[in-house]
Amino acid sequence: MKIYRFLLLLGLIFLITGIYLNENWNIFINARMLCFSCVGIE
Amino acid sequence: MLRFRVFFQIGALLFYNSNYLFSYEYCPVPGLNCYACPIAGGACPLGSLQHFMVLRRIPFFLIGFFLLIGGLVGRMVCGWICPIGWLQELMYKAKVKKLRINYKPLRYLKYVVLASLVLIIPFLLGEPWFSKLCFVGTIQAGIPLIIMDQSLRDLIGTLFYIKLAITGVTLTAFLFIKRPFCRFICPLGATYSLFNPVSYARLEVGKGCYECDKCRDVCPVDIKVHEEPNSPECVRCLECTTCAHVELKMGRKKEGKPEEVEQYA
Repeated sequence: MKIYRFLLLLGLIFLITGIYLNENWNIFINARMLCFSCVGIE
Repeated sequence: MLRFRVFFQIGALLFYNSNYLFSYEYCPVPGLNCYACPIAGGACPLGSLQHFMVLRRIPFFLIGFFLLIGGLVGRMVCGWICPIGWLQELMYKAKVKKLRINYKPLRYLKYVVLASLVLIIPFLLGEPWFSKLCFVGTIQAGIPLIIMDQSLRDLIGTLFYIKLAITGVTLTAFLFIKRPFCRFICPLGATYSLFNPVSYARLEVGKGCYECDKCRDVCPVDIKVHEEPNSPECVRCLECTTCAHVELKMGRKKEGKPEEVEQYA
């Protein structure tokens, strides 16, 4: 199997697992709300 | 297609910062864009990655996201849809004396930044240290929010001034050096660069190439395309394809069938 096909297949599996675990909804939104570090405030 | 690259870069900047129209903060954007910015629409991939490290969880969605993009186009994101890459190209057009940095070990600094500030330190200390030092956050979030919000102004401390100093140094470097952030620092570029040699899209140099180095002159990351067309440093901007010997190809090269390109004089 060509390497890029393997990478794409693996990527798809990880992406679907992430969606299945609901991590895109919960964690990304929490990460954004907590991001005072980007602003530069301790 | 190549002359439309700037429209892709402008489009990406507007799309990443489209919170006034629609928000998709549950999804990371492919390029570097601070999600603490008041108008950011999507999540910063590096900020999200650090957040997962702080939580000590495996970022399945993000790994899949990087594998899919990297596997398809390698580091093309940096050349076409990264606002910071575009900013560097714009600032380099300033008419000042240019510096050419050929010190190869500097290339590996971005992998050290990725491993330390994005992965290991957030995992061990529980704090996103790349975000704490990131100049993109200062430009897109720090300065605008401090100007707009009095309550935040009262919270300014040493960290903010350190970030301002880093931002000043970085922006000054953009005037003199070709894409210094992409080449030496950016951990997102480091992630995508791992896929460049094996991605579906790749560059090929034909046999007629006589190594005139014109490709290096137009290259925004200063690589010799004829020596290493799929270098991890290449941002796949395709500027070098204006030469007839360099071509963008899809799929892997078939062994034993080298393609010839007509002599270009």
